[in-house]
Amino acid sequence: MICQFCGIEFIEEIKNKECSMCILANNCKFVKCPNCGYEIPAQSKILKTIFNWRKNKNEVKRNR
Amino acid sequence: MRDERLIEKIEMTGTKESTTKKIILVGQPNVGKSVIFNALTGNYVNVSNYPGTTVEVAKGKMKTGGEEFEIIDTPGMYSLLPITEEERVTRSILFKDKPSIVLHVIDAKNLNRMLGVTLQLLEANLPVVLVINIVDEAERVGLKINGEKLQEKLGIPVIQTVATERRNIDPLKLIIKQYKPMRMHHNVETNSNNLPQYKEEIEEAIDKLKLIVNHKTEISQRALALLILQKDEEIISQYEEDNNKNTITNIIKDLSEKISQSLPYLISLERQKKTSELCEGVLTEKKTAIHQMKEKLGNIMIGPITGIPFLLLVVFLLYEFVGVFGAQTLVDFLENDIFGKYINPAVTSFVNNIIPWPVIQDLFVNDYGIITLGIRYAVAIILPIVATFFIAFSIIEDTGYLPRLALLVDKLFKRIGLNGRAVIPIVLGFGCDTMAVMVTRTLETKRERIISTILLSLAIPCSAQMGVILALMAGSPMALLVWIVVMIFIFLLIGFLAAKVIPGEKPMFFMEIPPLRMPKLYNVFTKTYTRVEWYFKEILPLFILASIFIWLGKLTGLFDLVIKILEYPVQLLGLPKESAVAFLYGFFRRDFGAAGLYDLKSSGLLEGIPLVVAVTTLTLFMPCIAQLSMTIKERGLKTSLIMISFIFPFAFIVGYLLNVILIFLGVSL
Repeated sequence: MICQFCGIEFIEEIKNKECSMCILANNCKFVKCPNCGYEIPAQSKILKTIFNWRKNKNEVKRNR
Repeated sequence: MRDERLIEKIEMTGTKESTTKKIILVGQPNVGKSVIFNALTGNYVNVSNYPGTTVEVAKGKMKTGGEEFEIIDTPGMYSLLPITEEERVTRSILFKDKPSIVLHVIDAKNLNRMLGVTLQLLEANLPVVLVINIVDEAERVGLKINGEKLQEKLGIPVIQTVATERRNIDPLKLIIKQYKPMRMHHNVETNSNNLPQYKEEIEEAIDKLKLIVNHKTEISQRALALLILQKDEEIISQYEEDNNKNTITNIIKDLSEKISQSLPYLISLERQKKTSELCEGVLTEKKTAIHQMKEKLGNIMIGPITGIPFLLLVVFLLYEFVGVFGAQTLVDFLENDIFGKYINPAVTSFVNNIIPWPVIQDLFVNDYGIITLGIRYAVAIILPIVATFFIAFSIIEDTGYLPRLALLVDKLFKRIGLNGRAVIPIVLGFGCDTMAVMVTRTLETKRERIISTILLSLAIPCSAQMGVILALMAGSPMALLVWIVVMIFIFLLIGFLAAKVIPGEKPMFFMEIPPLRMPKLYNVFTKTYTRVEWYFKEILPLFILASIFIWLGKLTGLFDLVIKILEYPVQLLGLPKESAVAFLYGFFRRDFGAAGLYDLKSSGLLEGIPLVVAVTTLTLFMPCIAQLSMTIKERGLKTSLIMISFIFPFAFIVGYLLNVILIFLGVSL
């Protein structure tokens, strides 16, 4: 993932140390850049499900 | 194509020792590994599950110059530190199969990003040949790679290919045939200048871990130590015997205490720096007309003379989209047509019919009910405004304008004693002040952290509030201009005074500026959706809670008492006494209060100078309860109490002075 603020690339799964201190961390939908702290919205579960469903549907079509 | 060929499916039972030289193909997904594999192996391949997994690995044979090689095509891998099962399998093959050559296939268009894995493979002391594939596409977008120079810098064979056209496949076979391993012994330090050197504390920890990491594989001790530092459980579990586990835990714990950022991040940052160094003079980009135009536009955004008018243009467009379209057209439709004509009358009638007690009816409907006030504010007023703001914000974010804005205000920040890094939490504050307060901990000095927190609490409206403010000012650009001028003045004044009062040094800040780009519809849509979903989930319970508090306050009489008290300062500001209710809401959340002001404006009670005064005063309030608790957490109770005792009276004093000055000057808004 590339931070849109400072341009640094990082792995989405790397949890920022500050996040554990945040009171809103449990339900947080943002990925925090470990360099500058900028928050990038992670894709919502609903959207992910829709996109994966569409992707699978297209793949099935292609395989046919 | 693999499906056109004879594929023999077998179940692998384990890896057999063989004298045939093994060549392992690794790389990220979609870099053309399989096409290279096919080009090297011909028609006969085995596709099998890697033992104990459902991950498929393809194997084939290649004959060149009378010698036979076994080629293994591995699943896509982004790093030697695995996250997915596919990556785990690839690493396992690399570490256990003793390859004679590792062909690292990368996409020429993303040389900078993909060289990081090359560095990891070299750190692991693997015999790497770098295959830069898809060079035709890179050439089409104006990229040119000097392979010889990169080969010289890395000290390994480098070849550029277009596998789909079989371009340079024969030279690749020749490299494989003639490859002479220059592998170091596994316990020899990898001290090449071409590999990253990490922070002193990390290097010390690596040295300590190297004493524990023994001769179990041919992988370098340095690479294993780095994986252990990144808490790779699979590697750690191999060294758990005796007291090693405790020693490893202690080394990692000691290091984590010494450094403030996450270890995987710091390690990958050093690798990125190294890849940038490697790309210097290797990667050249032909500047097309579009590139030149982007460069010119970027300069306009950063330059102080052109940057400020450009910023004003952005604010104007934002105002037109959020303030006029979102707050007038959409809010009018939702509030008057949907809630006013359908939802509120239907719900009120339904509640009044099924609940006979007026006290309980008031909890759900009527003036301050959960549905008629809390949900109406959230859905009919805040949602359209915030949604249009988030659409605009996502577009701005996707273009790459934000870092340029940071650079523009950096010069200004330095004058008030903040360094460029403080730009980030301040700009983030326009999104969410609570998060921005948390980000202030990335600032190096305590002085900067305190100044930034004060400025965030005082003068930076969050996205939700910004949207409502734009909505309140809709139809009155002069009022908006006065508000902007006052807020900038207060921001600079407080920043300057705080910098004078709190002494300290001013450290430097460096930031990479990503290129300008056209916003993508998909990105804008997903970001807006995610932000609206998150915001709505956060505010709706708070709005409902606020309605319950107000209902309880009305039951006990406390609400009326507080309103009575608030009416005095509110009237002193030249505002109608009805606005005291909005200010009370403002103590819960600034945007909730702003929605209250919006209600007053809609009913014709608030306009002209009183409107600007009310909006300015409310903007200066602490943003919300969440931000207050974050401030207490980050800056401590004492500092936070000092801030609060300054912020609220200051907000009212500024409102009072603004009212007096505007009346004195005879300003008509």
